[in-house]
Amino acid sequence: MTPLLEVRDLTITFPVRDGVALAADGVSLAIDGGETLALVGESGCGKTVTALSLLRLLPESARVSPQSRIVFDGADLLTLDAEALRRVRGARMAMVFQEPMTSLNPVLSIGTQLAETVEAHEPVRRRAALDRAAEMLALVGLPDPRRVLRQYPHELSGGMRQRAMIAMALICGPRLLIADEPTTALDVTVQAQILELLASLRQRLGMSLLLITHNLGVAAGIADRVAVMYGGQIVETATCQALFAAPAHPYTAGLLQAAPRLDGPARPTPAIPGAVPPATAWPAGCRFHPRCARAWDKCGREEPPLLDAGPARASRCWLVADPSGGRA
Amino acid sequence: MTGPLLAVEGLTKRYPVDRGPLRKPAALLAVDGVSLTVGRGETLALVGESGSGKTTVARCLMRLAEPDAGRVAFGGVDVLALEGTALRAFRRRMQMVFQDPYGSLNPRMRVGSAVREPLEIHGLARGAEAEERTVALFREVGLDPAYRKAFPHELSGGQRQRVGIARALAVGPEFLVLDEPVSALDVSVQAQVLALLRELQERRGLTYLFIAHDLAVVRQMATRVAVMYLGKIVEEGPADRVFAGALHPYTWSLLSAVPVPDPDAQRKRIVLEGDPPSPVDPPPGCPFHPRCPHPEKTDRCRADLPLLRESEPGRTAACHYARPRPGL
Repeated sequence: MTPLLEVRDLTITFPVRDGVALAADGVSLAIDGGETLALVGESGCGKTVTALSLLRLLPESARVSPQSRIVFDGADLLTLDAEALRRVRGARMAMVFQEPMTSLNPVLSIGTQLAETVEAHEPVRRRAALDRAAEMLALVGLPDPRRVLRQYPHELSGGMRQRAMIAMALICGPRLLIADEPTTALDVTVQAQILELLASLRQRLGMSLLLITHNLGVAAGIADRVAVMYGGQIVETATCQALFAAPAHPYTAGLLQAAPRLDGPARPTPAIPGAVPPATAWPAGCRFHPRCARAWDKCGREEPPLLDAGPARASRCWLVADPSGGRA
Repeated sequence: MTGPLLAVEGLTKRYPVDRGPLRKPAALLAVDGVSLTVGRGETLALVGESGSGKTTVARCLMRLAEPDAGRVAFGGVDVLALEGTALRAFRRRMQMVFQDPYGSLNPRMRVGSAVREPLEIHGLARGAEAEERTVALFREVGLDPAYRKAFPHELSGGQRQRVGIARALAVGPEFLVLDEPVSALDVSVQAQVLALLRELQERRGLTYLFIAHDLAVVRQMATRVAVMYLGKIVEEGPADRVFAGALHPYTWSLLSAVPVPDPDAQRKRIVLEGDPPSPVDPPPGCPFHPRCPHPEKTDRCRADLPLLRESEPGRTAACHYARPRPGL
């Protein structure tokens, strides 16, 4: 089966004051129809840049290397002209952002914003578009949708705004929804509602979901597969089950151990020493080696490729090739 | 000395809310009759979602906001009556660490000066001695003293939070109010800062009021937990017992909503409906009743405000039908 979305060797750089930031470096990933992939990592790992590039929403200063490919539904998005790109964006591929207040227009009513989205892609009259908008608002669980149509973003609570944002993203029936930290700005009880909503909508609408998150717990609750990013690269991919049962990459293992959790004993969690280096100066060899407890001399010299680490999983770590960790 | 180090009784803080030119301003009851005690060397966690009033409690304790009613006794001193030099002396004993040190540090001041400044303001040291003590503070929070010359933007989030902690420690306080001290940090760095806070508490015999919304973090840090909803404490008790079986249905829901990094976790999730109501116009009766998942909820909950009372020895809850619900 051809995947719905296939990203190959995506490399993105930004010129900055003290050099060139390598924000995404050879990122490859694929999402099948109906599948949920969680792209997990800490700040500065390249997950948001990767997501923005899929909709060609990168800032103008960004440089996408010529070998990069983003194939969606058979078309290479990186070579589409403006009109063809417009037909994809918001229609077949849509995005939900972390802070809906900054992505909704504050001076237009929710109804106008939703209706305009439909009208941009389909030849419909305003009345029909508003009917669709009301249906979508009901689908995302907003009570009294006709009233919400007349409201402005500031009149809604954070959770309701995020629901309205999701309704707007889904109104043209996209095949892929990209959700960038959709619950990070929300309170924990509202976060649980939105995650439940995303999971049920994905199932009912049969769409694929790319979830960008820093929270491993959020990924565990919703993803079929997980890709972990560090230093602009994917360092591990696996099915959700396999990844959480036995992480292959020491960074994934470190993140899992560092995350405070409610299940299991109430003891302090071990930190990963050090900090993420700046994107202008990734360390030579494995980018994680200065912080890795299992690194040996080879890790500082040679950069590991993504190595095959079992069925449907890969890890960018020399331990896959040499489980003894350099002692053999 | 016997008795708690900090005793708060009936703390109440109202803010006027402008409702336009033709309507009388409404009163927002941010904190409504909050009582709590913190024993020397303890960590009391104050937990709640945004708008619950937890930060306003902290601001009243620090005399950064003036409460409308209530008493605050710190080491037997009536904090709300303090003025002038007595207030200044109190501030040497109680200091605050903020969520985002980027927002609380002067961007144009080298971080070494930011840490040294309180020593000079309080007349504790000057010149070479102040510098020497600044170096010692940097070492104590795990920062290379060479960073004294850096500006806040040149540091990572974790390093900036260490500066925030060093600045709070400069005047030798007994009590720290920690307002979401790790919420802005990545998971791998969070664990480092939590470890530092535990270490400092041990070494200096510090007492903490730990304000947080992340219950998994609270579970690692707290001796006791107080849960706030709409300006009121709804549950209070020893941390291990609250996490083993919360008494109030709001605490049940909070615990249940925390994502767990385990795809196989079989959980009876409680997903609350709706958002927290506005504190300008709280519901009658129990303020939690419109969202309450308690199976025994009755008409009484809609009419009578439940008071905080002892439901088990050493534990209180503000629910007519309080009973423990096991952990997750």
